[in-house]
Amino acid sequence: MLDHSKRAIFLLLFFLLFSLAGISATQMEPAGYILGGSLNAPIRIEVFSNFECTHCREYYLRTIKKILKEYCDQDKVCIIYHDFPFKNHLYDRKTATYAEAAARIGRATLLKVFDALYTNQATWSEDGNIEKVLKAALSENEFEKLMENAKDPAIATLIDKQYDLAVENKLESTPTTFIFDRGEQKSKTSGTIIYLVLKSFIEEHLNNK
Amino acid sequence: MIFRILHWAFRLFIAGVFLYSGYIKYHDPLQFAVALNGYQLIPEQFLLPIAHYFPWLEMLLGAGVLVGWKIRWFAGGATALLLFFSLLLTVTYLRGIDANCGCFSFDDPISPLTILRDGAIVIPAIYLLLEGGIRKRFSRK
Repeated sequence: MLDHSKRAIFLLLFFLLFSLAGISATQMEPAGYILGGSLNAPIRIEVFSNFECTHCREYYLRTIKKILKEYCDQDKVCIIYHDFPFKNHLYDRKTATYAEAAARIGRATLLKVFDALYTNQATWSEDGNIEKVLKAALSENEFEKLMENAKDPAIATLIDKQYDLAVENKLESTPTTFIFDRGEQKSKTSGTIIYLVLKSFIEEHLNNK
Repeated sequence: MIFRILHWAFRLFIAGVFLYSGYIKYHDPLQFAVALNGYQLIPEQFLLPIAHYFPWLEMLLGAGVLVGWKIRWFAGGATALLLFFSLLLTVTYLRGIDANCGCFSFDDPISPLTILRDGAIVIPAIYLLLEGGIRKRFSRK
């Protein structure tokens, strides 16, 4: 009997040690662009993605957009997107350049560019005419500014920096989502997280003050 | 002597498999929920609760087999779970769904090899479950 108790205590200690070792406090550098909320929000979601990946499209349109509307407007959640262009994708760098250029104009323009690029992914990834899609989504003034900003060579450095950040974090696929609760990393998830699951996860952490 | 060696080898193996498998899921419930969703079987509202509680069941079974108290019960639970997994993997593979096994890592697409691997793990679990009977049978001979 005593033998069993000793074993149970040993197991308990083993798990405790294991659990503590698993808690990570990694924090991403605030590179990338904020889609919603502020850096003061209790929950921070950082997504590594690119515009040509079909899973990223599904993730943005079916999950992230709903989270933006439901939590970011009240600053409960901050969503940051990072470019992770793939070498085998023809238009990843070009679309990332436009997103960076849009972020310089403002969040409203950035969201319009995200919506346009993901909604029309099948069209521009086929014919390569990204500008046509953006022109249809933006006002004339916004489109001109976007094209002007996109000429800045500093954008390429910014994209490289985010790519390096992805490599540093050993990412191999998109979308990959990091979730931080008050600065502490709670999850690193590869693949599409469905809305209801992400919402429940956010609620759990918001209620767990 | 051979039975003693087999008993401990299988017991440590099954305990290790369940403790490890439960631990990686416990450590990242969201990633486990994504893997579960890939099977296209579980209603969305149950994904996260299952992802939270299921790893504890696995770790309980692993700890039970390791400690050895009522080992047949724990080995029975492990056997039932492994048979269920093997069936689930086979059905998912046959349905042509490109899902991630989520068994021992989250980068493990379902293939005939993963089905075979999970199926093979059932053998030591069944041995621990039926050990008493097997021993009696062989000692009579």
